[in-house]
Order: sequence, then structure tokens, then C-alpha cells
Amino acid sequence: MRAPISWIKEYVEIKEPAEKLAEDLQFSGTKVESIASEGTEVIFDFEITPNRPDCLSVIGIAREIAAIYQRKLTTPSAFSVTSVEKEEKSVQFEVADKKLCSSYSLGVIDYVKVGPSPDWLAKRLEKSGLRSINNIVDITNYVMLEIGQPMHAFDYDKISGAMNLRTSKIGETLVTLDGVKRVLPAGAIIIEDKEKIVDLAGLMGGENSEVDESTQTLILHVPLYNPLAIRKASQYLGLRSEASNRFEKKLDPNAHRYAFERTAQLMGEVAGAKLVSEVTSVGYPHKEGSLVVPFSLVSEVLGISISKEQIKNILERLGFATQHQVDKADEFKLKVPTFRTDIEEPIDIVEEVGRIYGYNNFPKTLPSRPSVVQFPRQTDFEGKVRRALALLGLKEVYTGSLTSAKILDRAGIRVENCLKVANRLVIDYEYLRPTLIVGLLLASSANIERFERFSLFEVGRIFEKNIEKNGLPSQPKKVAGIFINYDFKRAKGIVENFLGKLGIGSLEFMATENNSPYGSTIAKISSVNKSIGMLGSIEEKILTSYDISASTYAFELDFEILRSLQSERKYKPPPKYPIVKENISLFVNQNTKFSNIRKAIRKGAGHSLFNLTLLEEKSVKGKRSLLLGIEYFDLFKTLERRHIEVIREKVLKELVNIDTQPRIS
Amino acid sequence: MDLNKILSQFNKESHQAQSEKEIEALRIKYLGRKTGILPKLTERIPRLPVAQRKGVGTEIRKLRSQIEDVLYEKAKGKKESAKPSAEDISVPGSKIETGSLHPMTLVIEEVKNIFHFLGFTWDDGPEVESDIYNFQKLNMPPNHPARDVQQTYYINEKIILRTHTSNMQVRYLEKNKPPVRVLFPGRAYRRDMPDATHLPSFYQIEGLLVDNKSSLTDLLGSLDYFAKAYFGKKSKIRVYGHNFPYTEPSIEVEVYHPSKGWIEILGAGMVHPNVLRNAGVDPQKFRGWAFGMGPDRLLMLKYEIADIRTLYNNDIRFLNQF
Repeated sequence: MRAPISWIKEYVEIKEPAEKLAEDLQFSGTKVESIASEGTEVIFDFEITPNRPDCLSVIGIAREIAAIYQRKLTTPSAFSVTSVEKEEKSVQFEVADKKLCSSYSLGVIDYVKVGPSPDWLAKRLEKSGLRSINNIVDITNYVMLEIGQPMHAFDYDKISGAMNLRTSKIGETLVTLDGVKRVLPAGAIIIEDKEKIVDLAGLMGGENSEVDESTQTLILHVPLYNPLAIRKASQYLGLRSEASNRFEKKLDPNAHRYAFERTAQLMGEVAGAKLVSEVTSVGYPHKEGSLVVPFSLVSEVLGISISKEQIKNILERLGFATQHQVDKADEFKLKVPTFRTDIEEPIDIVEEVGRIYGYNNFPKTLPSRPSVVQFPRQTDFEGKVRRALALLGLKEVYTGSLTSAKILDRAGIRVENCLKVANRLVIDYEYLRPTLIVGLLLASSANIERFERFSLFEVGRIFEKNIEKNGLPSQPKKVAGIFINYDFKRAKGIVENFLGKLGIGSLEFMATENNSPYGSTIAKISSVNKSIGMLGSIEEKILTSYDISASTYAFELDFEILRSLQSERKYKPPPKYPIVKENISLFVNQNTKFSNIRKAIRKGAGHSLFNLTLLEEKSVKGKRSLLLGIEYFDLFKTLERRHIEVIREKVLKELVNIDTQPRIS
Repeated sequence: MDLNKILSQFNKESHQAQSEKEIEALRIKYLGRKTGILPKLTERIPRLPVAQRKGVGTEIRKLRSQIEDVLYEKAKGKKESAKPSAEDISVPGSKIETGSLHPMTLVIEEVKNIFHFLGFTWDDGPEVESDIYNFQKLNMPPNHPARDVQQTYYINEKIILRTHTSNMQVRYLEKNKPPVRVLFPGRAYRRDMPDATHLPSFYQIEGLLVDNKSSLTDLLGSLDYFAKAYFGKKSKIRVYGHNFPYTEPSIEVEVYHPSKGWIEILGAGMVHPNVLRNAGVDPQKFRGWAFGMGPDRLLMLKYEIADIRTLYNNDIRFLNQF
């Protein structure tokens, strides 16, 4: 809300420079967006929180200033003549559903001379960000800005018969003041006469009852509308106005009468107008509410020592009438002024005291209990995961969890299977990622030109369409990595090493069906029969669409399963007695699995097997040949030649049993 | 058997052997366990006539050590020549590729560590959230005007993308009886146009304390402690009145940055009694405070990053700096 300081000064004395005033207002909760100087004038732009519609007015702002600086607030007196000897003209106004318009003031104003506004009025509106239209429209806007109560003036002669306020039916139309034909939703508040809809209530008047140069008589309607109905219609029609911005909040239920009188008064002064009907005020006056607040609540919640007198003083300055409950020394009763529709319970009063006392005058303390009120998590598993991957040379990335159909499509993912937001703003942020691999591919693609070989990882949630027991879509946390320009052995080695660092053993890598976005070499990883996730190469077609030509592997593991499988690693001392190393060459069938060879060797060597590595794999005369490095040891003695010979014999026998041909050089 | 012949042959060949590989091949040829010339000679000793046997073992051992010495010197020379000829310490060190943690992780961990000193633990929860936990239980019924400032992505009428990590307040309190002190770091979503300071998905750290005694002065003290811990001893906080439906009183906090001045990074307040009630906590017995801050902002300030998109583009030239 914009307001020139000269206007505010009409109601409260201001001695402070604009910057100081802005700062003091901000500290107490009235946000100043900007201060602009125009000649001798200073224009404030306030950002008012939705709970304080009373501050969407110059008087509201002046009241805050008066409270902060302990100064007097002077408001303009209302119109003194509110009844006429003989009603010259009258208006019939029906409100069928009281919930739509619980209270209002209404009357007929005649002898209006519509014309340009006087300079002071036009200028003041313009400084406040409103265009001057004519003296009548300007006065209604002026009072809205001054008091915070919007209203509407109809041309009396353009209304035929009784007026009726109701909700719209779907598809009804109205041409509003701006010349736009509005197709209404069901439930918007409208006012109609005998023949036609004349007002889209709270949002904009109808063109058919507009005040213009020829207007002589007005119907002035100052209502309090159902905020929700206004808000919904405003959102539906995409129509926001100074009026709707106020009507959709909880306005002072008593302001309509004062606003009517003030408007009629100004119209008399500026446009020679005269009230010719009784002023009808429905639902008026509204009684102010009261609250009982313990003094101790104020000091305990705020944590400051503040006297009862100080508390009462602050509240009085804000317009709350306070009264000490004599029988209950700790409590006081207060009356909540009707313009403070945000005050509902005692805690709201605590805030009032705090913000005017000044939060920056508070001492700063630390929570007084012993600092550990709960056991912090035993271990930060997520941190452990991240550090383990970083140690293995992977760089951590954070990629977007909202992505586009295009990017998903490039990864060969069908968007029908992905969770989607219903109200996207930009096409790039529409689908929730179903795998972290998409983001990793994108990140890799961004680096591929500058870096020949690299690996990245991310920890984060992925999203699925299926709804879980808690009523929410499944959104498991995953750990994923990508290896650009790596071979399978190296990628697998890193995954094994990573899982090892988490104390997850008994790993099994099982070949599995092709499954997007993985290519042909896919392994399902499990530990103690629990599936952890996948490791595989990315299909060439997909890589090409991300401009990646190097061989690429990726893994994605389930975070919670990793957490459930993790264990503390125990130290194994290195063997005391020497380790004996041997190499064995083997011819094996194309489809023989290394895991079976390992099993055979383990079976043959028993606990003498210390380590087994694959040194080399090649093709000799069309046959698959493996060079294995085997290390033997014994916990209790030095292995001698004769021992080794016995073990070797057994190992070779087992290897022959699984149909391999050992070649000892 | 002419050991001298073997030695002169070795000398000739060793002269030619230059690479480490060639030296190794030479070692195997002469000293190799199974096929080496010297081991083979040793094997033959028992078959020699007794008269010739005497001293042969010693001779072979002598030859062996001669050969070993030569090989050792050659191999050592090889390693030395790998060093720069002159000790020019101004030559650049090798470039080392290492793994790294994203600065967002570093910042979140730093915040966790700072609040850990005040007894805070941390927890994590759903990003796709029900309207109930994101809004309704936080004192924002349907159509509440305060929802306007939190541009919301909807999945459907009931399920949304959480607009803040405050969704964890009631979730956590339902499972953990007070007293609690906990941080909720995580992703949140707002339907904003992406630009240098906004992204539809960003990070937030919510903090929550609920105890039988807690006050606004404790909140201010804790945030001041945080400011000093993160931005340095000269930092401090400045407080503005504000309004959030889920806190009462509500405040906005600016932190003094030694070189950038006052910056707005925090919203906070005393937990609204309705929120406690919604979590099954008796507001007569317990009070609490909560705050929310943006680690994106903290990160950008710390490392002087101007554009938030830099954080999520994952250029390795960016990642390598952390």
C-alpha cells in the first residue's frame, strides 16, 4: 500500500526523518517496501501482512505510528447529519443470505455534480498510486485508502426496482467497469436489480450502473462481504483490485458506517451532494470482544521482565481498553477494538506487547536446560554415505527434483509413469524425478566436453505414483552414482568398496532383465538376500541423447535399506605367517561365471584361501583364458611347499569339477 | 660350466637393458626361480662329480650377488632419473582428481554442527506432502490468505509439494514427546519463475524447540549464537515484527554480514498454541519456538556466488572448488 507522508501527518505528528520512521515501523512489524521522494513529498510503500487489513489504510498506519511514539491519533470526525426530515428518494436492498454480506450501510445521495476532482484530492490519490477519474469515484477511493473500507456507488437512475444480493450461478455474465465481459463462476457475490446484474460485488462494478458525467443521484453501498467468497471469485477471475484486496480479509465490522458518513461528508464538500435518504446500517454496531490475559503469559513467552503498568500502557496505545481484575492479581481483562480482527486469543496480545516494546530491546539468552535434551542420532548415516563416496573419488552433485517430459524422454522413461504437478508454471519443472540417474546424466552431459573421465553422485528422494499407507506417493531416498568413461570392473569395484565402507557384506551381483535407463550389463545388487539396488551400463542410445560417447555405468541404491544393513566394521589383524602367492591360468567356457570359479577355489582351499584376484582375462586361440592370482595363508604356521602342493591339488580338482582346464606353467 | 662366461654375457646384456621392463626380464633370465640360469646351475650341483662340487656353491652365490648388485644399481638409477634433473621446486605439482562434497552439504552440515552445540538433532520427511501437514495443521485452513505468499505446486487437491520444511513440525511432534530440539533440513518447492535468486525447488532448514520453559529471548539468543558461529564474532542479529500463521509472536531476523551488511535470511517465532494442539501437545504445559532459514542463501553468501542456478548446474569446475 502506498501512502504519502503528508497524508499520514494529518492524523499523527511525525518528527522523525523518513528513514528512521520506516525503520521503527519495520521493527514493530509494519514492513516498508520502499521510500520514494517526490519534491517535498515522501511516499511510503508498505507491505501489509494479510492478518492486518486495518493497516491497509492511512489511519491504520497513523495508529501504528502513534502507538510506537506514544503520540496522539486524530481521526476526522464523521458526518453529523445522518437522518433526513423527509426521504426524497429511497432504495430497497435485499440480502437473502446474511453470510454473504453480514453488515452494510446504504443510502441515497442526491444533487451530485460530477466533475474533475479538486487538485488536493487528485494529487493525493495519484501519490497513493490511484488514477483520478472524477470527484465521486475519487472520493470513494479516497475514503477506502483513508479508512481501509472499500465501497461502491451506483447511478441511482440506472437501477430499476429493488436491489438484491446473491451468489452467481455458473455462466452468468456481466460487463464490468473496464469494459470486459466476465463469465462468472458459481458462488461469486453479485448485486442485481429487477432486470440485470449491476455489480460484481467486492471486485468491480458493472458498466450498466456506472457513475458518469451525467449522474445526479447515487446509491452508496458500503458493505462487509464474506472474505472467502470474494477471494475465490477474485482467484477464479484473475481479477484483483484495491477493493478485493481488502474485502478478502477480515475487515473492521464497524467501519462501514463511519466510511459512509465520511464519504457523504466529502461528497457534500467536493461535489455539492446531499443525503436524501435515511442511512440504513445493517449489523451495526458490532460489539467489541474481550479477552482475559495473564500478565505472566506475557513475560514468560517473551522472556523479559516487564511490569503490569508497561503492558497496559502498550496495549492502551494500540487502542485496547484494559482493566485489572481485582480478584485475580495476575490477570487483566481487555477490550479488543473491532478493527483488530486478528486478535483472537491471549497469545496474540503477547505479540502486541512484544512488538511495541521492541524485540531489539530484548536480552538474548540461551535455552536453559542441559543442552542435550535428546540423544542426537547415534551416527549420521547420510554423512557417512556421502563421505564414503567422496573418498572413492566421486563428486557430489545436487540436481533438480522437478524435471521435464523432454529430459525424461531422453532417458527412455515413460512420463505416464511419473508423478506430475497439476499446475506447472514452466515446462522445465513439471515431473518429479523417478530416478536420480536422470539428473546425473544431465550433470554429466554438462561436463563431458571439458572432462574426459569423472564420476558423480547424489543422495536424494525419487518419486513414484503409487500411494503408500500414509496416503502419500512413495518417495524413497536413494544413493546414486555415475561413472563416465569407466569399465564395468572399475565401476563395480567402487560400488563394492563403498558398500564395504558401510559394513555391508555378503554381496551378490545378479544379472537381470533389461530395465530402463540401464543398458545390457545390469546387475541387481543384494546383501543377505535383501535387494539393495542396481548397477549397470547406460544404453548407448540414451548416452547419445545426452552427448556422451564414453562407456558409462551408473548405480542406484536404496538409502533406507543401506541404513538397515550397515554394520560396524571389525578389525581383522593381518596374518602373522607369510602369505604364499600363486598364479593359475585357466581355460574356461564362455558362460562360466567367475562367482562359480571363486566358489570352487574356496571349496578346494578352505580357510587357507586368503585372497583371490582376477589378474587378466583374454582370448587364446578362441578360448576364454583367465589368469588368477591366489594367496594362501595359515593362521598358525608357515605354509611350506608340501602344504601348498596339497592345497593346490584340491583346488585344481575342484576347478576341473566345474569344467575348467587349469594350465599350470 | 664357465661362470666367467656367464658374467660377461650378463654384463653385455645388462649394458643394453634400459627400461625397467628390460631390467626385470634380465633378472628373470638369470635369477628367476624356476628357469633362471643360476638356479638351474645350483640344481645341477648334486649331479657333478664330487671333486668338482667343492666351492661351486660359493662361486655361484658370489656371481649371484654380483648380478644382483648390478641389477639393483640399474633399477635405482632408473628411479632416480625419473626425478627432475635439477631440484626446481617451482615446477607445478601434479593435478589430483579427488572426490568432493557439494557446498550445499557442507553448509547444511555446518548448520547442523552449530545447532548440535545447543542440543539439536535432525530429521527428514516427505517432500510430496499432504495439504494437512503443510498448511492446515500449521494454522492455515483452506483459502487462508497467507497461502498466497507460498506459491504452491499441487499434485491434486489434497497432495502438494511442500512449500517449507515446517511440514515436519507436527509430524515430528506426533512421534516425539517434548522436550524436543530438532532441525529439519530438506528440499521445498514454490511455484516461482526461475531466476538468479529463485528456483522452483530450493533448500530450507527448519528448527524446532518445544519445552516446558522456552521464551522468545531464548530464540533470539540461539539465533544470535548461530549468526556469530556462521558469520564470525562480529555478526549479530536484528529483529522485525512479522506475521506467520504458525507462530505467535512472529519475527523476521536479519543477520549482520561483515562485508555485506544486514541480510534477511530467517523467519521465526514462538510456535502457535494451535500448532501444538494439532500435534497433540498441551500448550498449557509446553511452549516452543521455531525458525526457518535458506541454506542456498547462506551458501551463496559464504562463497560469494551470485546466481542460485550455479548450485544446481553441477559444473565440475564449480564442484572442484569445494
